[in-house]
Amino acid sequence: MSKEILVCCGTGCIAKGSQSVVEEFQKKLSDGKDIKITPYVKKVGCNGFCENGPIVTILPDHITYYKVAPKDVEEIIGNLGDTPVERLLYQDDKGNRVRSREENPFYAPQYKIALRNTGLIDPGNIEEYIKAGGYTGLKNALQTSPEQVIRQVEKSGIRGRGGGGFSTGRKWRSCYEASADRKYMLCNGDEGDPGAFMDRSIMEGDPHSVVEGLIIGAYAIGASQGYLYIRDEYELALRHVQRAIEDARKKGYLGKNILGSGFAFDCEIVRGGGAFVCGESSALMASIEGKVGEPRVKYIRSVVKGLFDQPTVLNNVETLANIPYILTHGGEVFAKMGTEGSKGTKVFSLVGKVNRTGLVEVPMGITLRELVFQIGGGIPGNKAFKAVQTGGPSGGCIPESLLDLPIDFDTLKEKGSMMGSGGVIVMDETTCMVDLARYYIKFLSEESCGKCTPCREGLRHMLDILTRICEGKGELEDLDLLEELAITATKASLCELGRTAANPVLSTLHYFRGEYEAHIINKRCPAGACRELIRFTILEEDCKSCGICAKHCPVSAITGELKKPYTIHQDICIRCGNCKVKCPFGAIYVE
Amino acid sequence: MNILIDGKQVLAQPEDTILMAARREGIFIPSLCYNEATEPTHSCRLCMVEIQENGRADMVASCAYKVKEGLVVTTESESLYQVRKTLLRLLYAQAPENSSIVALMERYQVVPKEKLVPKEGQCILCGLCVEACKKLGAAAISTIHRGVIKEVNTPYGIQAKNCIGCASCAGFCPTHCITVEDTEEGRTIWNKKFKWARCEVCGAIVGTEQHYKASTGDTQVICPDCRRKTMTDVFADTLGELY
Amino acid sequence: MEEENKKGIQEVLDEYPKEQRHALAILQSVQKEYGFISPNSLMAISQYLETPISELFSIATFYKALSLTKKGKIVIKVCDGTACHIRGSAQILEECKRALQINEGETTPDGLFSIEVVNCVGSCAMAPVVICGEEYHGNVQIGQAAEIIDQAKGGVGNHE
Repeated sequence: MSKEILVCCGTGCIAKGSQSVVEEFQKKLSDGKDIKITPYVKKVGCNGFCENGPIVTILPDHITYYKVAPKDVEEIIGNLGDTPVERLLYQDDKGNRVRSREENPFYAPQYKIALRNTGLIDPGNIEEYIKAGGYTGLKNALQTSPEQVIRQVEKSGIRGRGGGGFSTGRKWRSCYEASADRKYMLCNGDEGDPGAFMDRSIMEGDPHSVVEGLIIGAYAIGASQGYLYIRDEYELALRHVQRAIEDARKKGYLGKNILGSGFAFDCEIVRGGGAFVCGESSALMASIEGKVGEPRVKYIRSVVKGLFDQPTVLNNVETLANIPYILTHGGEVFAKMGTEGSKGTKVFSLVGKVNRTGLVEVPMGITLRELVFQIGGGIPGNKAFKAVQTGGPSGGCIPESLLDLPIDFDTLKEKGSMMGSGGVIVMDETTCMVDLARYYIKFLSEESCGKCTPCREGLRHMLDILTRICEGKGELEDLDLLEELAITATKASLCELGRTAANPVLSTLHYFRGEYEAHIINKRCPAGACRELIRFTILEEDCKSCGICAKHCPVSAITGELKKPYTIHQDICIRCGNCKVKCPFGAIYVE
Repeated sequence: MNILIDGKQVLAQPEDTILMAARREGIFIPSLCYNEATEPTHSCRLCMVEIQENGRADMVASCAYKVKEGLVVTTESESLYQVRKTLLRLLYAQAPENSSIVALMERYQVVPKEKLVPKEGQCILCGLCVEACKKLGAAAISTIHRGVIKEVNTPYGIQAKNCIGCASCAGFCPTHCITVEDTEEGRTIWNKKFKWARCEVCGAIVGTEQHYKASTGDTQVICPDCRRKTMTDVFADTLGELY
Repeated sequence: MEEENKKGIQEVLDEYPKEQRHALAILQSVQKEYGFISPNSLMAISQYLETPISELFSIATFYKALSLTKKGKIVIKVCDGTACHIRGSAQILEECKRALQINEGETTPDGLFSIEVVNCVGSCAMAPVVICGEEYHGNVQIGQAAEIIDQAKGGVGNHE
């Protein structure tokens, strides 16, 4: 019988030991069993459901196993072609074990375009990419004119998936119309939004889709040289994209006279240096030029004067991954999905306080409620939903009252947030919104390039104010000052990082002002998170004197004796929360 | 081309920024980090103005925005005032008591906000010193780090090998926060000590030894006045023969 | 013993054309080869690219991938991305600091360990994440960070 055993080797599953699972499969299968397994065990890219990894899929049966350990391998092999190994199947919300992804509530509603190959093909094998339809888009593109390629992209309605949401077709057309002896086509792989990992998965799991998209774009605008700017921290992605470039060259998809069309284009990787601001287009270009990643004023757009002052197009990884699909199936097919203003699908990274976390690709227009509660399976521990943060540090929070908002570029912006790269961070009642604002401002205070006054100084003071509020040292007039600084940063900053830096503050102030006031007026943290404002207390009637809490207290703040309730000494306690987590009887609470 | 600033028709050159065109007309737009002699840094943001273009309204930095035919600019408005007020407060917190900033605050009737905790030193990170050093000096200083801890310094904070002690940086600094100690013997700047080069004829100081060497390459130290006198004598000798 | 395996600085430089645009890549190669960028390395790059040292110093302090001081043999990176943050990365950091008796950004006196807080590493579905050397650890529970460090200490002992 002919089976394919796909073992996920994305960064997440590798961290959970999928390499050993692969080795075990290879060992057991070569032990010469009666059942001839062909073709083989295949290492595939990120399946997007990392918490449940290592993930193993058996084709053509479409059986998917989760949390597979090397010790499970023998049983899996033994059951091939037979009934699946029950305990390794996913359990849906009703408690039923489901065989295939189509029955898994996490995967079922998904429609994969950008992630069409990720998790199914071996990312290091160009033949598999071609077999799956790869480089058809390029062939189609080269058989028409650049202008016709742009028209397909315009018809698709696709907007930038990196956060800007700018019309890709319009961007390509502007650059196409600019005249210069040299143009550049760039890929933004500097995924810096905390909580986002879709670009990582695409680069690791289907690097050719990005390369092909880049070549098609270069053809459309008339660029002869391209760069893929990839985040320094993404080791696996760097390796896989480099391999893809080399293999594409060997096959004639890159270089002089691509596929006999006369079009010449080549590209190379530029490694990021660990700077979030380099995700901003002009900072990225400065970085490629060998300088510090400081953004420049963009009154003259990059499509006219960009990298090395030449016309340049910069597209996000996910945007480029969609392009081959558009050039294979046509722009209208893509435009059939999504909403009026936001066509196609979007990959979201659903993370945080949610039962099923991972990458979710769905048509635009899905509601937040569906995303969080159906696909995500709701909040763990039956805690109450509080808000989602979308758009990373440039975005804002969406509270429960707006859960039925259909997600698209414009609706999110209207409500004070933005789509951003697609990170959806779910928060529950234990997340403090003031601390969240402080967290994002702290992040930006370190990542801002520091050049202009409203951003650098605005962030410095906002961080100081928010920290004081979280420590119980805030005053009501601090809120007015926060707003004043936030508005100035929004209006006067040099680049988008500064102009959107205040969004987390403004949106949490707008929807959760009560929490700010509780911190200031009552010196309380309602979510029980801000360390200076909380106390851990042992409920005497529930304490069984087991002493586990005292054993795990890093500063020996808990004392007690047998048959008597234990006590936490508040003057020594550092509020780390270990005791509450370790107490087997739930006798410790936070106030 | 013609543009409109505050309702007034202003003639502008093709490569002008709004700020350049306004200055030529004597229209006041506040700024601290702009200096015609160097590359602009666009960092203080005080020069923001409102524009109207093709029915679109926006707020832009006038030191960076290039003029276009039919551009309509407003330099004073309520929202501009609000922005300038906060920017001045932020600048003041970086350089309290600085005369230029205080003057602007008085002009716009802005009171400093005590809650804005002041920073050490008087640097507003306008970047003019770095640009000046690159253009007129030896590229001895640069901005280091990023974000809120960004600062201007020499590499490792120690004396820079290539610093020539020209003090162009200090000359360009709008808040006078670069310490230059000049004595009879020489100068100390950015932790480096320099000796004066003195004119061999009259004894006047012509600059530090390194600065003199870098700007003229002469081994003989001679001040501009004495050099002129010497040249005059040479001409007189040569021409004298003709007459 | 390790010094013998390191390339000479000129060898590292010669891999790149003498163009300004390679400044960051060269610095990263030096960082990879020596674990940090020394004043001598900076000077060599400055001469090679004919770029002022101040400019290279600016780049070296701007990008977090570059370090002017030597890091520990094993770097413990605690991810403070948003998903990790709301799942308790702050606690994990405190645990690491207690276990090694150093603050973030510092190195233990024996030069073995450094602690760093890093931005989102893109493994958000397994938050909170700690990277010990090259190994990723996901879903790190309270108390587990200390164990990870203990294991690493044991590992280092074996190699000496």
